[in-house]
Amino acid sequence: MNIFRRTLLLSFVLILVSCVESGLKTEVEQEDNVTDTVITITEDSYMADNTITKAHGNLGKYDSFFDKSDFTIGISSFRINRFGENRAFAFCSPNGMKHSDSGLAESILINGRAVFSMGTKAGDESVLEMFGRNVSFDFPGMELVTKGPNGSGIQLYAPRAVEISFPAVQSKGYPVCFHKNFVVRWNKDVENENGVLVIIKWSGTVLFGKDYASSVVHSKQVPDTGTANLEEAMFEGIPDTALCSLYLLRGDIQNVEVAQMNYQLLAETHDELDFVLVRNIAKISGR
Amino acid sequence: MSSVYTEKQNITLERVSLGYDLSAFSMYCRTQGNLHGYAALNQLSGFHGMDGRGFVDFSALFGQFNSASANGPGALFVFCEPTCKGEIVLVYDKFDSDLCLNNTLKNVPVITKPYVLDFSAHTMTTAEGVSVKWIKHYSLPPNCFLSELVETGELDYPDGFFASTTKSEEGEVAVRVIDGHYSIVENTLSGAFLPGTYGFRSVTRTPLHSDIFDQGVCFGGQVNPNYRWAAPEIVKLIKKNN
Repeated sequence: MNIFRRTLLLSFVLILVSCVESGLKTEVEQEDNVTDTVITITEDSYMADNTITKAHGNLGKYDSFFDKSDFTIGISSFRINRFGENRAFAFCSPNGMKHSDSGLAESILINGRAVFSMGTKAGDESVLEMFGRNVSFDFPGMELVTKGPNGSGIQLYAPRAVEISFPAVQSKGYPVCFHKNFVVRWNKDVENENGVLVIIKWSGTVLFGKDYASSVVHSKQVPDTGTANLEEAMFEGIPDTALCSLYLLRGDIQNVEVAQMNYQLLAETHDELDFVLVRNIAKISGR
Repeated sequence: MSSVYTEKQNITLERVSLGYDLSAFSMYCRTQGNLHGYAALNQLSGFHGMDGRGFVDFSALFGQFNSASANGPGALFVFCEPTCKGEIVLVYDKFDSDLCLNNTLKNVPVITKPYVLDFSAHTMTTAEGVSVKWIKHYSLPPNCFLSELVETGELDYPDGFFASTTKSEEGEVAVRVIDGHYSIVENTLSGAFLPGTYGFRSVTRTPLHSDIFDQGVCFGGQVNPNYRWAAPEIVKLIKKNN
């Protein structure tokens, strides 16, 4: 389950385009005379490898993602790529659970449907339709310590599928974003009371210079207003021309006890944008 | 000790035992993946028979060197009064049969007053700048018979030896002017260059050409078409002699 949560929150299987540098080319050099100026190099001149995992402020309900549980069950939506449509699926973790002798997963109902039943058709649109409204989780025949309203099962609000609208992918590929005054925009959901989790991730790849064995993850909860201005601290430890990923995630989560087991119930939607962070920009002369 | 010595003597040291411990150095090299460290150990072992930990004698210290060498072993004996107003310096930096084979210090003044002997010695210095050195300060009574030297040596290697294994003193690097001074760009890999002061030669070329950087920069919630990534300058570093 921990692996699954990390996949959702931090990694989301970041597939970097390995051939980025193949599109980079240098031109033949010409050397001038030696200057009188000097460059002093000390050990402090170099940037060290970084391993940073930092939450900026209170993550609110998203802190619950990191609680331990025996099982994680929920629904998730995301876009396969920047120009693709949203996909949604129901999941239960560990995966072997559905094949267990107890048949526990198969008996769980989401919105009254046995989504984990072998007889349920995979890939239908019914899960996607669950977003933007309340979703119920029911455990027929099992003792539910934490109950929802009127003694029913658990209800979570599955927000509308989130989509990043800015920065936007342009014709040149990855957007180039300055580390100051970094504005993010997305489709807001006024019904979502849990805010949006913003994650900036860098895995050590740079477009100029050699890659680093670094892992930097900054996260922050912001209100679901459709826009946020990220402070510079969200890019701490990330150098010029770093190929980064921006994740927006929103959803609901609740930890419950069912049949003496800890369940984490989750309804989340996330979107991802890869971009190039730059720390040095210049105005084009003549403009 | 006066500046004129009317009487000289030869002193035979019955025992010259210079201790060393390379095992810790070897272990550290291993943990650091320092190949230069291994090369240095091999040279020390080859010339002086040093391996792990133990003792070497003068004969082992000088035996492989039959001529003066800038990187050869050396020994220094400085005899002086405690006030150090006058001193006799015996320097052994090359093969000396008496010293090496018989442990004999020649032309040492006959000392009738309390005196001080500052002894120092070192092995050969490897190409990587590694050697073992011994330093001992003796305060001796007059007319004493100096018969032996026993000292534990310390490994001596240049500052930053372990960090310098992949560094060079020339090469191209990207720089920017920050606060009026040239600095290497922040994501230059550590270990690229030895710490120090460099002159440089500008390399006139576009450091990087990528379609990605041909587009405007996002900030303030919009794509600003008038701004581009500011590429650093490429220079070739040239080590200055300081």
